[in-house]
Amino acid sequence: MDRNQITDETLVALADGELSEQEADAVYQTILEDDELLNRFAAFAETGALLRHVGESVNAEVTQGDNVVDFQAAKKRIRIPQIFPNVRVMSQMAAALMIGVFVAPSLSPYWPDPLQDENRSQLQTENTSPIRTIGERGRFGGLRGELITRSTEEHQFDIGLRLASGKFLFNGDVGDLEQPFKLMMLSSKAGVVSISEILRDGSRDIWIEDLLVTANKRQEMPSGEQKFFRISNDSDALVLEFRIKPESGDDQNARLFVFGKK
Amino acid sequence: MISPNHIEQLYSDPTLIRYAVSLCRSKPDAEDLVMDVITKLLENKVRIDPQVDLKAYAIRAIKHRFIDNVRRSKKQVDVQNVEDGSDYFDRLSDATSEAKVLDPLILKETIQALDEKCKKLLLGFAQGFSYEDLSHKLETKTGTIMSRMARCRQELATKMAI
Repeated sequence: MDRNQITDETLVALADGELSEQEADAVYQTILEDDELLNRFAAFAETGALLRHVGESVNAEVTQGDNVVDFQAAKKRIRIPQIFPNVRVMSQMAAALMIGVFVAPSLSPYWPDPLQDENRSQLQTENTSPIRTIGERGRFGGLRGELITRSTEEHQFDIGLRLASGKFLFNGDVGDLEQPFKLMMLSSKAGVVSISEILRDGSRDIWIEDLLVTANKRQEMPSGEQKFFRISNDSDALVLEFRIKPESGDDQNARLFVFGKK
Repeated sequence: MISPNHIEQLYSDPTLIRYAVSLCRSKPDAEDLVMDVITKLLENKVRIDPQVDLKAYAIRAIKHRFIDNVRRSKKQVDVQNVEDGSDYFDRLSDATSEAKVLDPLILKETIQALDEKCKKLLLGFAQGFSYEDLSHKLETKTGTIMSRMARCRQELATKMAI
């Protein structure tokens, strides 16, 4: 497409997802090759995002009066750009990705009291492998133990405790758990099945063993591909970045964020 | 210092990913883009007061990161435009000041100061209306909405120093 054909109207429509897929692709390819168009497009996208960000707070006090659209009437008609057809699905995917690894008390309406007799049956004596240690000491109700995790389904993890007795306590929805680490998987491209931690020379080294990788397909990282990562201690959050090599396709980057005490 | 809770808030908000998708036109790339920015925040490479509107700041950072990425991808054919591998975060001297400029309150005040047509249009857009919805609501042709949107957004960008 000739760059001279691309007007501000086109750029703002592209940023707002208002162009047809075919037109959007053509315009976008031209934009990528032209810094000036790129900057203008990005600025329109930024203003759009900022407007949408403040949209929720632009409520009655500024919408009242005859000079303003009646916003409340058609809120259900919010249109998502075509390239991203269903924000609800995305939200659900994001939530699903974080099940068991993303520890958020607000997501955990119920965490049974392990001290209650009826809940003691949840304690497991069998090692429903793989169970891995992910942290130092965790606490759940009145119980204390080693913080452990196990994989359940693709991209899903349970976090629990290994008690001094050797028994295990799991709950897929982790809540009021005082733990030394929070694990948060922030990418749909990969997940970590197991982590073990080694302290060495004052740095925190973490061995990434098995990886769940992209496209909703589980692939195990070949043993020869395992990587050893050294994490600096200059941040509250440890960020692991690693490259994974799927059986087919390009290498992909993934990250694991580990929050916790040093 | 930015805490994990702040990051949780950013990540759990689909707006950022949706915005990144509008820039990248690819969900995986958009996720990478957002994660890049969050990573920088986590690494404390950017010193920013957590009291400021982090999401607004993230919107700014994502834009710059996107532009940097596109320019880097053209590095082999256009070395001149690549700033020695530095990125937005390297160039940033004061993230807190930049973030404060993007405060939603300031944005709302700026919108209120625009002419009536722009005010109606942008407030409608802020509430999530599509161009077609706005066309019906404002009883204006969609083409007019589009051209007016461009003009008003340009005006807003200028006033907000975007």
